[in-house]
Amino acid sequence: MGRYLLRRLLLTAPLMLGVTILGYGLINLAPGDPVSMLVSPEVGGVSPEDLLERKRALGLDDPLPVRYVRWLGEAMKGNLGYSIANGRPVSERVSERLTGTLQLLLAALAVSMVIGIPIGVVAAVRRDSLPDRVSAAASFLAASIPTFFVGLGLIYLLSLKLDVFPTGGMDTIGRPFSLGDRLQHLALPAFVLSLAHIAELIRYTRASLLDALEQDYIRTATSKGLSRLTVVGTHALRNALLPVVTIVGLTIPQLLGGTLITETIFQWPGMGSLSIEAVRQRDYPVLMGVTLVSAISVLGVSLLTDIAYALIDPRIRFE
Amino acid sequence: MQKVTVTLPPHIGTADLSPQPAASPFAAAARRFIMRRTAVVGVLLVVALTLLAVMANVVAPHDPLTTNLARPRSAPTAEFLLGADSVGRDVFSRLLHGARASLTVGFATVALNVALGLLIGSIAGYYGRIWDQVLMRATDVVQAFPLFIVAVSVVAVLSPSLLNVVLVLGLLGWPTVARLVRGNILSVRTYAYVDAARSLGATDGRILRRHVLPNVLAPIIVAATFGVARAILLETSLSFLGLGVQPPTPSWGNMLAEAQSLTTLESMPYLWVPPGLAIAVLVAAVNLVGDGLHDAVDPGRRHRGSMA
Repeated sequence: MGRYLLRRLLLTAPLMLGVTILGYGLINLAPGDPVSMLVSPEVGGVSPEDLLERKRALGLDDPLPVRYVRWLGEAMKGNLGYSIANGRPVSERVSERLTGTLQLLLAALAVSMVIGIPIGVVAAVRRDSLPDRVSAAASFLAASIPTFFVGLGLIYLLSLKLDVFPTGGMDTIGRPFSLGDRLQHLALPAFVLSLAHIAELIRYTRASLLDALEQDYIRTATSKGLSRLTVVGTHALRNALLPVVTIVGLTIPQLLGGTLITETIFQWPGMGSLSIEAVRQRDYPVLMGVTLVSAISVLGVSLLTDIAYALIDPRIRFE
Repeated sequence: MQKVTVTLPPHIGTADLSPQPAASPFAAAARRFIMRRTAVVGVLLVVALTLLAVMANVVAPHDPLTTNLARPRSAPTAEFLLGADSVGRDVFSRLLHGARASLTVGFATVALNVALGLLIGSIAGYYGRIWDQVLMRATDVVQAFPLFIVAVSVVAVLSPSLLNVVLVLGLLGWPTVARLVRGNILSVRTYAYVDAARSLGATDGRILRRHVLPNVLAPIIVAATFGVARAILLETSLSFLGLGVQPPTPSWGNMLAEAQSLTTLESMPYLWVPPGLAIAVLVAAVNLVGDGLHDAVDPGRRHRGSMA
């Protein structure tokens, strides 16, 4: 296990570096530089020489690689620059939105697993039955309808017409925090975010279980006289769910991408809605901070997924 | 390469060994495709929507850009079938013209993805060694970024437009095709007929074009079809957030953006339901074609259930 861990970590390091290089390149594509932004075009009176002098003092005329290394050093200390909109540190603005997104992501993951895996199991065990076909059609639709349309439809129906759920936000304004209230606010965005994930989990669980059901040990277990429930429940399912762990990890990037839309529609205060606010305010440092934090979390999650998989399935470690 | 002509003895080629000549893999796949009703429905829908988009000028009852502040958000009438938007433009005409944005982005993005994926995947798969290492690590880096988040930040930085959406999605979406091409080449490369071609003196380029790529074509076409659906969904999401096609040019995504106001959402469903349904129909149609193609080139798939 130690060797596997080490190899996996060594693979992640260059990826992280690549991500930061791309990320820094993106920051540099943004129009304007900090010095010209300090100068008001109406006042004027600043000579180009003065500007250049100021840039030199700030190290902005150094070659790109030098600036990148300096930026990387600062970023590793947690300094991602300052928000253009309100001057606060980017790291602060991102971290105060982190918990919102985490709650939404965890809720969406839970919802998709609770709905997706059982449906996938039923679809596999009773292949080509009515439930199998209905679930196939439903997951096909979920993959074809844009999530924001589903989200808008649900707000229209359940919030505006039937008044079952709030239209958005995290808590009812002016009321003290209560878990029930939070969950009621969380329900719709978590469901909308998990839709695509549910479809994927159904398909994957079904395929994986069908595959497991064809193995020799299943025939052995059946011919031993074990009940169908024991055969499927303990022998097949345990092996079939192993690869599902990977697919859960693999779809985290998609899920994170989905938060941009979901959080915006439901006015959920998280990193996703923060990046859209940053886009609207042309707050490039905040935008890039969110992008970078997301990319690095995705790498971290895929690392964790691989480790979890290696822990459950010893074959991986010895390959 | 030198052309070799071989004259066969007269009985070969005339002898009818099998009563029915075996269909070529292509013909067999085409037959399986046509036999699937859902796939054919998908093709018909895509063709119909494409025709509507191309002929939007002729079909649309009004100019999609003409504003009329006397009737903002007015309800549907016989003249304005789906009502008018916030500045009085005819929603039905905008719906027809909006198909252009979706289809353009869908096909242009995938064309870029496939071109890049083919190039990168075949270099990595065929030349192997250091090429493979470097290109596949680069693929990992591109894939490590959550596509939608990156697309949002890049388009925001470059200024939103249809062209920039295509460029960003096109330049970042190739890893799927590249992996597919590389994987297939790695397995095809070991086949005897590739060795045979090389021993006959075929160049690398010729082997790739004539012997390797035809084998990879089927999975690429399938992936490309699903890629079109994905690109259309991404464009509508970007336009919905104001980061895609810019008004007044209509796109289904930016038409839905009007529903971000709760009053419009609640009392004027005629403004946002039609573009939403249009996206769903187009994307579902493309996905039906993709499913049909997938089953046609890999007939066992449906029975087994696919892990892909």
